[in-house]
Amino acid sequence: MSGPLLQVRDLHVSHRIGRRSLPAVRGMDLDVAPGEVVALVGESGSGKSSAVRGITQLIRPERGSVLLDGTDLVGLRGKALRRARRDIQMVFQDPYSSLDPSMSVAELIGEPLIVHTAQGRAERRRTAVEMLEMVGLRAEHADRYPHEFSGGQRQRIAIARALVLRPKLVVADEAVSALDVSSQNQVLALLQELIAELGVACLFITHDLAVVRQIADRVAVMYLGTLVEQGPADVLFDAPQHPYTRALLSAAPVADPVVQRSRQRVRLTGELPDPMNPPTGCVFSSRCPDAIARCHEEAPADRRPRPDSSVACHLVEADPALQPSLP
Amino acid sequence: MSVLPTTRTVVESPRRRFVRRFTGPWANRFALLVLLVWLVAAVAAPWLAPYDPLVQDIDARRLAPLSDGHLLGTDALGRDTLSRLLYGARVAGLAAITSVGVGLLGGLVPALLAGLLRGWWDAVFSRIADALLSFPPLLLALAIVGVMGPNLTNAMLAIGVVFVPRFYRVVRAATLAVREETFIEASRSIGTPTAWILRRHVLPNVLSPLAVQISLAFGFAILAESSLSFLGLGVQPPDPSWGSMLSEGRAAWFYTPWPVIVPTVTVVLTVLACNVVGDGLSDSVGREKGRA
Repeated sequence: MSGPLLQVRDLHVSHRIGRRSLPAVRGMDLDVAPGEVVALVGESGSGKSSAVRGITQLIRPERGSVLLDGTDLVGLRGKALRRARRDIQMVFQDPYSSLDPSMSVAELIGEPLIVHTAQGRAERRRTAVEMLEMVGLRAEHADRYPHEFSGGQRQRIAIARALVLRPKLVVADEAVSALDVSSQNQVLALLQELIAELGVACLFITHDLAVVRQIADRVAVMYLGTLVEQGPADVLFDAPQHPYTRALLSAAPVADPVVQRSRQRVRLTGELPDPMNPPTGCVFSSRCPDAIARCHEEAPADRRPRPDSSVACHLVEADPALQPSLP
Repeated sequence: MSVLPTTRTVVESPRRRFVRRFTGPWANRFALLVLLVWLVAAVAAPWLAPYDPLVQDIDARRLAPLSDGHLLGTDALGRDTLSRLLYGARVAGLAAITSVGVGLLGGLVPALLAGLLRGWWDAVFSRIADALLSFPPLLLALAIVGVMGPNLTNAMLAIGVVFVPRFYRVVRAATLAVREETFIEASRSIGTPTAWILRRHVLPNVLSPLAVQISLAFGFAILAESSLSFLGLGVQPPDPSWGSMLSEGRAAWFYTPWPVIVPTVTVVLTVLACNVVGDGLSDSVGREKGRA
């Protein structure tokens, strides 16, 4: 594998609430290789969306670095930042509000071209129509307005908009969770097909594990603003290491009722702790079924049970050959 | 990949839908017609007017309408009422356009900035707007005219100042609503410069409430110009304005009511038309959500 396309190091993102500041992401390290699909999972309030906004600079991170192809986005301002955005495009959760209702479909898909290319009007339109056909819509849809389309169709338009510049990375923030299940599968399959075809890397944010299984090469599990475990999708699903990952996986139902009934489930009690007042020691210690005394006192460092995965838990044995932690 | 069928085959752009909805009610069409007539009258007054509006004819004073070549009669000085009315439309239209222009000039850009950027801009502009709003409109206009001297330009400026905080309020509120929409964030994530976002995403989406305000402001401006001219603070005699015609006819109102009735009806009808158009606009610009 070549060097990572996206390299996030020690990312901290906070929201300002009046005078106070709410730390939503607290020290996140994440790599995405070129062409790789990485899923970022976690329950509501775990900081997934804040992490995404920190990475894409929609919120300026408090601390840390976000290297895209070697350039640190965090330091960029104004024109340089806008230029860097060409390579990192987004698909948003709600296709009903992410498309400007006063613009036609051709204008919406053409907007990135106006900003980043010198294409003329006719050429932009040609490109937009090409993109429309690529996402399974027709040329005659180009002059319609977003309100004339269904949710799934709108998300296709949003995908066309995100891919029209052929970016290196697409960040999809819960891109299918606002859709009903049947269009969810279609849109997901389309996204998967297109990013594979164009060789685009994808950071896919979701709380839906079924979606992760379908699309992801690697998975990163987020809890209370930090990554507790990351690794290849099949390894993580088959042998989850962190107690939180195990709980998350066992919360997802299995389609076979016989298996479902006989499963040993790890149940979590309580709510996600207040991010303004996180537990001492390990962030998960307040809800962890396996917590020992050490967990309440000392935050665990990332350890690596395998060369391609890392877990932040005192109870996980690291492969001694692989310490100390991430390269 | 299969192609999803769309439910509607007839494509209706937002503009066409707006025209269809606006021209539906007869009142809207009538109001539009009234305003159009006045627009033509204002532009073509020199060609349409049968007499010079300033020339007095001692032999033809206080004529009733439809008499002796004077379609709407003459006033106490023998000036043709129709001609004065047509030239008055010029004054009213000019007053309305200038004052609305001043209001937009002073209100629009600060409102967009305050709504989009919030913080310091918002605090300063909004306090200024609050201060301006706390004045009664005509009193503020009187004060400005009182300081700067009575003439039409000052009167229009004064009315424009009255509009500034009203336009500001409407546009700021609409901008605040629009800025929370994901499509603003989406456009930022593409790398669109702020000025473009304002022009391409914010402005088109605040235009509908603004259009409503503008047409209502037109009506108010015409009324205010008439009031100020009536009080002798706007158009100065002998130039014709609907307000000054009213005040000149007032003295002989019991003997010859026509020079008063004609401009009064005109003002009422025109202001009413502006308000109807404003209401019609606000009914027809609503965005179709189409979430079903």
